[in-house]
Amino acid sequence: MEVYLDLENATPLPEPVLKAMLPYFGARAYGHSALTHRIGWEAYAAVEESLGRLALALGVPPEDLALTHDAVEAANLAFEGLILGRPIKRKTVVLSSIEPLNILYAAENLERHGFRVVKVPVDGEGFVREDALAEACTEDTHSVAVSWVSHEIGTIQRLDRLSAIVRERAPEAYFISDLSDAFGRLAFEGSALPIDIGLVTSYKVFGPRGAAALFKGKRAKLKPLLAGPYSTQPLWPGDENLPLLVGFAEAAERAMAELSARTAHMRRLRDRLVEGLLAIPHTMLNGPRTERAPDNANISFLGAEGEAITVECSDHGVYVSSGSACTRRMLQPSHVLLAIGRKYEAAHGSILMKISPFHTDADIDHVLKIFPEAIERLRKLSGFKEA
Amino acid sequence: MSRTPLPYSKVLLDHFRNPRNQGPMEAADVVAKAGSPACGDMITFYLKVAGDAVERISFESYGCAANIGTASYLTELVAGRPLEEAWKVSWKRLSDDLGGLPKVKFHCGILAVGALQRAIREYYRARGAVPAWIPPDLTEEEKNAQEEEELACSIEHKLHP
Repeated sequence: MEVYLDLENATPLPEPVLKAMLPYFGARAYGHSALTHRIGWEAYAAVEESLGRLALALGVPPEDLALTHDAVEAANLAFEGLILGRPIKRKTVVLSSIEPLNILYAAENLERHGFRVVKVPVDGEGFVREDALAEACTEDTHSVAVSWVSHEIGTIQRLDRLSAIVRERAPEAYFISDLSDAFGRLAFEGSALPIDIGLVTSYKVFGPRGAAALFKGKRAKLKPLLAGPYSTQPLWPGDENLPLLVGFAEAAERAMAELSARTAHMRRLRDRLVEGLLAIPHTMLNGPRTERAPDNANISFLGAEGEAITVECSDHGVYVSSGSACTRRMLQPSHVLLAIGRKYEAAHGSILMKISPFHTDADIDHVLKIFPEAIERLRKLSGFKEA
Repeated sequence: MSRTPLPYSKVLLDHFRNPRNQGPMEAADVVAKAGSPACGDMITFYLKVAGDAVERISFESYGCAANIGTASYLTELVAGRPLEEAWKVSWKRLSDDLGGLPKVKFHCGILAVGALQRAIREYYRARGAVPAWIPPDLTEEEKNAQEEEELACSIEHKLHP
């Protein structure tokens, strides 16, 4: 039996999404959306239809959407596109200290334009400290980025309150929010959110990898980072990847149509998983118990190192990821876990798992069977003494 | 279909899954640790010495699969061998024997060698008769272990003073 829980990094493609995409790898694989013949028109129609479906699922007007090929591109377009779009003197970017790396790197990349990045601390459950956010927002604040849902510990930020603080302290600052872990997990209408720019990624709603989107409110003026003859995407010129866009739209539509059933299912299985794993001694849940994304489970196991846990679990057909330094090329443990005050040992022993709408009780049974044995074996190897 | 992460060789994975000479040793003549839980890497070697040779050796490891596998392999390599020979096992040799550690895991191999050298140095130091083949200055591997420990302590202290 195999159970894949590393949905943070890549997700399986459901059959109906694959089916929707297949014609665009085959009979409909050609046709340039910018050309004036039937094949081109059909390609154009497919792009427009997919954009429309995606916009509807996100609750935004299609003209507010810009497509990119992944979350890294979307984050760079958001930050740098704003700077190119409206040159202004304010030169500070404020981030929560638990932003995902695409946001962190894109923001830090602005340092080459003379910007500085200020990170706002979070509390022990990952909620942005409102007093610190207020203090960080000044007349020099260009933009503020806080992901609605933490990709790593599932914390659902109080977006309304944070946005109100930003509006009050730095009325002109743009509010950017990575919604990749909110989309398909929380009910929302994009254009009603108190943000200027939202980012979403296809694979996190079980669409194909290699597609992402950004939507912007009226205040946000963006300019493209790349120069090129665009087809339908002025903000990200170059060819659209039509099959992936079709898949993204299909997956997004399904995610929203089945939202309540999916979230109830994920929450029930996730709660089973978390409860079962916390029954192992010397474990701790990272992130809040409530106000938490329904799919997210993140647990630290003391006395067992995370990378070794991922290898041990892999040997038993369970695929998970870790915030341990040893699973990362930079050899630093997860900045998110350190930001919520976890000690190094807890961060090194952390395991991130996400539940999909397609997991079953049998999957959770299997994970709960192999985990205690895996942790026991590794603790024996490490000489971990139970206090 | 393989379920194992690509960068590890069969030999290393075998040592991870079936570690040799594992666990503490009550009758050890010397015990040495390298690394720390804060580094995410810690190796302890237990040595029983007879006539300047490793009579028995065992280990405990808190760390990644490379750390555990390397420590296990090293115990097998030096068990029954003269201490001088054990002292001279290089991390490069370990990496080569284990089918080439991924680059990001080099420090795991170095830590194992550093821990073993620490144990051997300590064994002779406690007896007040350090042989000429042990240099007075720390080896690169011993220094590496020390640096890793100091780095982890300083970061941990900054974060949680």
